Amino acid sequence: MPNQGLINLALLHVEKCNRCGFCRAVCPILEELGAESAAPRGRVYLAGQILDGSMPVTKGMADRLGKCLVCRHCAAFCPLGVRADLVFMAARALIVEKLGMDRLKGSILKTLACRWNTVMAFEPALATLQDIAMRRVDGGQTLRVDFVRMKGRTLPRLAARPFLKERVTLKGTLEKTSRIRVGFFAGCFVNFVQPELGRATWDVLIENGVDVIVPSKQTCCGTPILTSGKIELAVAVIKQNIDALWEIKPDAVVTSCASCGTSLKEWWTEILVAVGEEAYLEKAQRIKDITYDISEFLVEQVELKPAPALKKPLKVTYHDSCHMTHGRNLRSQPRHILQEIEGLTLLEMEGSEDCCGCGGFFSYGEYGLTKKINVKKLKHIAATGADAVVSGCPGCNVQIRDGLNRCGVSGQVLHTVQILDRAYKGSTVERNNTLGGIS
Amino acid sequence: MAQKWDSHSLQQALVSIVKPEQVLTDPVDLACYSYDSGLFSALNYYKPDGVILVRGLEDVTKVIKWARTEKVPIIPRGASTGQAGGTLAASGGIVLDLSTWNKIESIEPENRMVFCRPGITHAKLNQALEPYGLHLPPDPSSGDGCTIGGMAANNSSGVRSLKYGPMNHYVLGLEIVTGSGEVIYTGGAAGKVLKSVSGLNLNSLFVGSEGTLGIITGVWLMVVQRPAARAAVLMVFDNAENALAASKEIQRRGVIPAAMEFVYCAPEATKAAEEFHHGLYVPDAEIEIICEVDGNQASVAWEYAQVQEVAKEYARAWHGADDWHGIKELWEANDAIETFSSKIREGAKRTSAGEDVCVKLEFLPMVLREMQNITRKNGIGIVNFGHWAQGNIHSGLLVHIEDPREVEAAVKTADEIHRLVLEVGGATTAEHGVGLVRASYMEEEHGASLAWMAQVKKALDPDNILNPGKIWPQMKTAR
Repeated sequence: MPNQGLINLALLHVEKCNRCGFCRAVCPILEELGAESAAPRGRVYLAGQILDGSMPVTKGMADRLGKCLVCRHCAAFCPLGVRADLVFMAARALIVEKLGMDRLKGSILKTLACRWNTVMAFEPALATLQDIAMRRVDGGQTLRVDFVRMKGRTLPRLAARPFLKERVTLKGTLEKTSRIRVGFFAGCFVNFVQPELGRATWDVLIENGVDVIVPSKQTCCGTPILTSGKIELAVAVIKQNIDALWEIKPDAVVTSCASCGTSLKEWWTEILVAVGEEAYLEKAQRIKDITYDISEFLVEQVELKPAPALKKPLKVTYHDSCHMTHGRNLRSQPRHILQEIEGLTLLEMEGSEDCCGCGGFFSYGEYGLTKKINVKKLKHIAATGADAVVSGCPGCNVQIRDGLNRCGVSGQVLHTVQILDRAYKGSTVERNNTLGGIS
Repeated sequence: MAQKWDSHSLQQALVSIVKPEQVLTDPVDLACYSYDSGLFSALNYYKPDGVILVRGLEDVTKVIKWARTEKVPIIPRGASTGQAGGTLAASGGIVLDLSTWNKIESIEPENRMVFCRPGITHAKLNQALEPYGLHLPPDPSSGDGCTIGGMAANNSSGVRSLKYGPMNHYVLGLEIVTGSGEVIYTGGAAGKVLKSVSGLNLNSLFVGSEGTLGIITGVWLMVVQRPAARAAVLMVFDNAENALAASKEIQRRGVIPAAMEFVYCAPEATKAAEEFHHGLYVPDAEIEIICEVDGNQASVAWEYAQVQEVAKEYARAWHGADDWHGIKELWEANDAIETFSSKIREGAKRTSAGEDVCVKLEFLPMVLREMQNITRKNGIGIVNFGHWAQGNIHSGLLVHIEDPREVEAAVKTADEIHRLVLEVGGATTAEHGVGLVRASYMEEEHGASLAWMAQVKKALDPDNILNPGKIWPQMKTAR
């Protein structure tokens, strides 16, 4: 059995649910599938049934409980505070134990959890291989993945050099100054796929007068591992990260990934409490207290340095990522940053908080479903007539980029901090008025 | 049905009627149709034999005709946000899940009417009406989840019904599939006029019939202008008699409140409102009321002044607001008092049973106190709230759900509440419906007229296949 503490926590939330059905209003999966078993209320009920042994763990059960993006919209919307995200983690842990996990997914998770350094060592070779094995699209930004369950999907290329290889701070190389000492938590995506987002975050932080440290022993934040039900593995990863961050004695921890932020800010402490890892709790709580999303940090913890006017005017629309919004309420901060940039016009899209459909690893197994959810988002983006889409989540940006590629549109998809970075540096953001061409 | 059908043969039968992707017979899916939000469904497990995700009128007519031949119960279902077991498959059968058939077919702002399919939620309909400055006023407080079809089938009303009335006031016409599979259209010139006395009022017959007379597949609704201004006053009273006198005085002065909601307070509960507005704490206050008025700027200014004057005279503490933020805070303060009152029993869960009674206004203080006595005697807790000026009491029973004795006490308490209300000439349900949970009180409540209701059902559903077991407990179900 998975950890009893986690099961008990999950069952508490199941018990708390009075099945009012309010969550039905906000679930992107229910909107697509329609059946009650696709509603958060239905899944919480089913999770309770397998966790207390009333129903068996079957493939059918695994299928229904697997159909959740863990967007946390239902949890934020629930009048009773039922945390469906935690319930599903426990249920998936039980399912994985009883039925096992897709081999490829299992290997990827294990690699993210335990073999960051190995991947970093081999990444240049892997980056070369990917270009041989897969077709470049979108001016070389992305690759078309024509295998496994994601036929036709475009994904960003692996970077030739991981972020940590270039910006890692070796122990003792940075002396304590009077400036705020920020520990930058990069996460898998920045490290392996988009080091340029890491560089932009770093440079913007430096522009804003803080010291930045990139802890060398950091690894995956644990989000994909937790949401896949590999709790033990996730706990090991959480502890490794806590040690890595604790060692550098930061005044603040900053991340530019919304899902990493959710992990550090909420799931780390909640999971450690649930599984009884008391020795790490004090440190986890301290890290939770000093962790900020980059937009939150820039707006609330320092005096945001004004950026020079953009060389060319730019119209952007902002997508509220689920993990920025639901539970963390980071809505105004990224908008504040964008609105401070002279020459930039923010065009609000309809349904800015509607899910893009990605759900991290969810889109690996359920690509067809994620595409359907994504179509609505693309229509709202197109309706704004913006030159670029901006969000605070690299995962959302991958999904939106893929959607645009499917529509043959090559508009820019950027992180908030990338826009600010370019404004500071006086470089232009490529304008591409084709976002409106989505049909 | 279990004797006649196994899962596979049922699926085969249903797939010959609708598309395979609309049919659910997997036990995992079916388990999710075994509940609503009431205590009854948490204690009793009724699973349908199959579910059909309805996409159109033809699906319903074909299924009804098949069900009539096979004598299979048909249970219509919106979002199952109810508390009375109205969507539970008490005798097995097929659940028609209408929640995905949610199109708004037409909005005619110039005629102040809309036509929509049953699965659209109250919130989404009102969102669509917002650009026209219109809305559907009945607000069942579950608008994000509940469907218009369900609201019509239950004649829902809620918070604003004091001024705006229940669904019945807004349903202009219905598209209905009867128990014999016929499609009928009700309402003046089939629902396309705002006013009609032409013929018998079949709209009123079907609205509130809980899916026992026909399946609602389309609803023409009157919609009205959104109010331009609002104001609210939260009042805390020493006792229920003062609260009753105050609400009477507010209405005597000519004010028609949009809402007048109460919370029968637990000791110290008004402390919860202190974080919103200093001075609302009244130790041992028996009752709290929030009164909202709406309309145009001038009428609201006048009504707001009147309510404040009454508050000064009758309430121990009060606070008013006429700005959006202030009004929102007052409703949050009201919710905070209710939440505090719900948490006075450590570890207890708030459950819905005996939760929708309605009594004459003059009996409210007595009935509320007696309900407290009943729960105390039975060893559980209760929080009472609801629609004060209509005498409609909602109860949350505070129960340690893991303790079978407390669960038994909750069931007993719900029964005693219903019986108390019947004794004083009240109604067992004001807006939530009879469903399964109140069917056993219908004979006592309605006497001989229950048999007449049954005659009406027989005319429209000759084989008793539509939602059997609801409203009429004694009627034999199809099988």
